[in-house]
Amino acid sequence: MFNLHAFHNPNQKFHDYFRCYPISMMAGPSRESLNYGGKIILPPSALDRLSRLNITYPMLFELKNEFSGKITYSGVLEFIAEEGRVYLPNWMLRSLGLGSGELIVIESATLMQGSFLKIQPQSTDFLDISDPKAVLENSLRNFSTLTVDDIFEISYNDHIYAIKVLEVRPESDSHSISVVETDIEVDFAPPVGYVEPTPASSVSAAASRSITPAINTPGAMAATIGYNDMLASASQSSLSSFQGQGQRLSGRSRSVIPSPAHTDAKPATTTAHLQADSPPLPLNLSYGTFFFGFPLIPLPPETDNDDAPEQSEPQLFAGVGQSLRASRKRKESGGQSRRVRQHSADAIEVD
Amino acid sequence: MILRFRGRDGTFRIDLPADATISDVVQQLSLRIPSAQPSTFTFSDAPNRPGQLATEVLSKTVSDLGLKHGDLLFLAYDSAGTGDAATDTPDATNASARPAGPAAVSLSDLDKKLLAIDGRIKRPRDPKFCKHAANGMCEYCSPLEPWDPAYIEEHKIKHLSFHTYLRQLQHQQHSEVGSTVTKFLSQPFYGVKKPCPNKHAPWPNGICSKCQPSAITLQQQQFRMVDHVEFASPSIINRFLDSWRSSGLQRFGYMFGTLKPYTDVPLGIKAVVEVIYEPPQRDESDGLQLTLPWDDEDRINHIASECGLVPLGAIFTDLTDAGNGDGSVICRRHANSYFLSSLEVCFAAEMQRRHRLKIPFAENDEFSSRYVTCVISGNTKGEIEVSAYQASAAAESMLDVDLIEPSTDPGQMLVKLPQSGSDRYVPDIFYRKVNKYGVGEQHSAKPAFPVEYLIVTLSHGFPSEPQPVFSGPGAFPVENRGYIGETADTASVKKAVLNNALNVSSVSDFHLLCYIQSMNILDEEGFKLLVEFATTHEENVGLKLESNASWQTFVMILESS
Repeated sequence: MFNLHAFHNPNQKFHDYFRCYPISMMAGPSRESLNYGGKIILPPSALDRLSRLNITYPMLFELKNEFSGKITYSGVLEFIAEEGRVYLPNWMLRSLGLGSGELIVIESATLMQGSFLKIQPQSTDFLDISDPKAVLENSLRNFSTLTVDDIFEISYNDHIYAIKVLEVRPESDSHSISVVETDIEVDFAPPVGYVEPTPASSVSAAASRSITPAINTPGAMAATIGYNDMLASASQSSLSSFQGQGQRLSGRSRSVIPSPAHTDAKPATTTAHLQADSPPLPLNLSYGTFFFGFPLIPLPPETDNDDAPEQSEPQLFAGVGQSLRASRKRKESGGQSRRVRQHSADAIEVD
Repeated sequence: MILRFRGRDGTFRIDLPADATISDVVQQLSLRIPSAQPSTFTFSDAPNRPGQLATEVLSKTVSDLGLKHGDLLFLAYDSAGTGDAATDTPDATNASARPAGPAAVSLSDLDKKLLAIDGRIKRPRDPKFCKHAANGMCEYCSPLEPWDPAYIEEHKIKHLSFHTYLRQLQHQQHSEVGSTVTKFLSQPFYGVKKPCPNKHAPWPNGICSKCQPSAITLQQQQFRMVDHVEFASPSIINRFLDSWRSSGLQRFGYMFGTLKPYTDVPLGIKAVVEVIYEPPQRDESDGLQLTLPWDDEDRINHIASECGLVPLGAIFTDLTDAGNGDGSVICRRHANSYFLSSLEVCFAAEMQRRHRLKIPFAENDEFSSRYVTCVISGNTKGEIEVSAYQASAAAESMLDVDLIEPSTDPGQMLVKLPQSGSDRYVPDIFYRKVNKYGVGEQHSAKPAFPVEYLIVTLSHGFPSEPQPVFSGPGAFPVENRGYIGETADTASVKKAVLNNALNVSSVSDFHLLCYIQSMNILDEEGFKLLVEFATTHEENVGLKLESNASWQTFVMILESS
């Protein structure tokens, strides 16, 4: 059902000024989850006007901070805001550089359907997610648009992950894509603060292995006394706690000898990766035999290094209590507080 | 008629016809006292009086001897099995069976010296509390006993010295050392007492609370038998390490030296190592095996004692190059791994059992040992460092009754559980440890417990001004190092001894002395002179040696070879 007015003005745009507020200031029950999406809450009058305009669906908007000229794009979730107000997710306020109650220009916009997206997690925690594809698919459902240089937030498993958009395709002047009803190829940049660990460590390990074979390979004495077999049997005996055989009611004996896999797949034991927690077995060597090829337990890190991470951790509740009454200890240490005490000794001493 | 016989096993009534002979009496008595030897029966009519040997009057009848119905005779005899001659009275038998009264061992010179020291810790006048004049004394400035608990707490003393411990025990017993010898030291015993004082069948057929060993609670030993190990000169260690440096294989040696008082610790003892003798062994990079039995042991001990040295302990290397190219080594032994592996603790305890300290204050005149075990390994900075340990007296005693065995985990000692058919008794063993909440809690030591409970750490060091007994250049090949091409032969002796005129530095080398002795050219007197010259460094002994006939022969042989 086309509106006659709209039909005459096909390029007419929705354009209005609003005061922006964070989601948390919205009336009604708290809806924290809206912070982790890319949709805004507009007043009902906006819907009224939008419905009379000839705009493309889904409704997408360009949000602009007129003072700084920062622009981002978003979808709309509901039209329940008070008149003149718009509610935005926190990350959006941050990327527009807006505070609560400031003016924002909202225009309707048309964006291309995205085909490619390159994002960069803002912390290495993101690597701990076991299935990032599923997490992203699920949380990007709450978004309609993605704009380059925005740092959006998703919530997963009680943890908030900030993710920056680095690149979108197809490229356009708006540097933004619509992610509704589309398949997008996603590429990841290494998270901020991520250090590539593998090449360096493998080089050093190879170097140490080649120079000091005694650490990682069993020596002649270990072979003589069969130390590796001892340890292997120790760890195996600890692994195979539930040994034994099944019995058949029919009385026929079981044809399969149990656990051939165990004996075949006997691990190639070297002293390097022997478990220190395997139960100790008797080491009965003849008197006068010494053996030093025990698994090497690396030195604990030095105590100086221990202090550093503690300091870097944020100190919660790190303030100092203040007492109106000058305590006895402080009285002794500082001359000034002692003078205070002399002035009004009786009044202060009473607890 | 009835005759009564009173002996040490009780009174026996024997019913006899009037015309019975003494042989009948002996026959009946031997049935009643199966433990007695019938040939040693003696009768007397009063106790403590030498009696009549029964075998001499076998054919006589009872009435011939004038015995009447109801007479009481005193009987003495030897038990079957003892080969002693017949004794007259039961009392005399008992008296002779008692062990000899005086102590069999005497104190060593070192112990005598330390017992003579007052040993109390002198304190200056306390400016805070002392109210008296400068030459007065009060409770705040009187000397402290060396074992004073507050002093130990204040100075963080981990182990008392042995003589401090002796005095503490003495104090507890209120007895005086030197005047009366009391046996207040006792090596713990963890086995079943045999025979049991309750007179039941011996273990494993019976056990009771009297013969059963009580539960063992392991704790760190309060004292140490030796406080400090001093290497008379750094070159001793250097020379020992040379074998590892040139081969990369570990090395073992026996340390010989002297025990001396150590003044840095109250009543302390230090072991001054003068030489490391390397016995025959098969070395590997990750272990070593001594070639046992060591045939030369007695010969080397004899030469050492001629030099005035005693066996002090064992030393071995556990070194692995870290591969940094700067001579640093891997640190295997640290607080998170182990200091002395369970295998080495058992070795140390066994060596200590073979070198017991003879001291008259101990039951059986033996107590623990002053034998030390040194490890050369990498410290936390990757430097080569010596550390010295002893196994505790508890470790020796546990090894005595075969309670422990080493395990594949070096930090854990296994409790050897009894197998069926063996008559070992394993008591309950516990150890106490402070948990993460700072509360001491008791753990069962079965199946394994940390070896730290069985070792005692000693300090070690080098003197600031080395005055080693053997001051030679140390160029003579060390024995049993054939595998790295170091072999002693006549040529090397010739090179060492005849380099120039005979002087101390050329012969003052234990390894050289041992080799010369094995050549069997010098006679006893010549060798004694050589040893004296090498150890005392006195010129007139050297002159005597030069004029000794067998030495001249020896030199002649060397020159002509």
